[in-house]
Amino acid sequence: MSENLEGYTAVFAEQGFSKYVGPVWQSADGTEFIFDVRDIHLNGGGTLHGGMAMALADIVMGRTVRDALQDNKTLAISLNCDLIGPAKLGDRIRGVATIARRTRSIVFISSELSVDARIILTASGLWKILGNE
Amino acid sequence: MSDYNSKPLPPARAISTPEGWLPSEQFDPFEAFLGPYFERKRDGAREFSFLADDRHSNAQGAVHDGALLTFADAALGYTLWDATERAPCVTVSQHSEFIAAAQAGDLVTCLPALVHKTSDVVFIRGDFLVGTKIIFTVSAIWRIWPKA
Repeated sequence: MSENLEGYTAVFAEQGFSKYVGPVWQSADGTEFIFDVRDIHLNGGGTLHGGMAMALADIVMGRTVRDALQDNKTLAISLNCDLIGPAKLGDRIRGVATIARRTRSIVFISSELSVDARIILTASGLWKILGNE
Repeated sequence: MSDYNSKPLPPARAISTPEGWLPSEQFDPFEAFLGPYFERKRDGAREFSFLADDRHSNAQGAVHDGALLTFADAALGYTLWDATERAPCVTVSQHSEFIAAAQAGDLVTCLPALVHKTSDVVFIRGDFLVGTKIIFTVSAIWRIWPKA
């Protein structure tokens, strides 16, 4: 596990779940996320736990939404994940997210997690923008 | 898939079992890392719960989506095992809706419902409650490899 990753910052790393299971690293330009699979993240079959895979997609999209809406609090209301393939111990997962549309109250976003050139998860989600009611 | 861990793992933190519940056996390291999870018999099936603490919180102090997603994957997986004599299985797709926030100290419960089972795919869903209030709901598709 890397204690530091040059050019990247650990996201939501102050406390709680993201600190406990992380780090999730974000590139300086904000567009790329990195997560290294450790032994604590595995299921009983020795591959990345589905809950952690979906949590990672949630973190990648949640951070991307937050970066795009600096002045508003946001929260996920819908998350749709397809778990396409496994990741194993030591794999470095890369995540990217794309905002499709932002209205006054909702952000539509999708994301993709991959190991090298192999996609392991695709996701789409809706994030609610608070404070614009 | 045949060498899935069959030895229960100790939870990462010792938590008192809520009255009326029993600790679930945990076989996945990541579930033990966030556990313990609890269970009780209800309507002939297993109902599951976990007690939210600081390991499960987000920056706002509410329960993190990821803690709910992981508990959901565990609860649905247990229910699927009960219906398939522990067939090897993986989550293929899950649609999750976050309806309201849960807080540290809340006991989050779920009685999953198996909707339909074919020879290789299971449709399963679950509503997650704090008391009688629904906070989170999922519907999922799992791939199974039933034992011959």
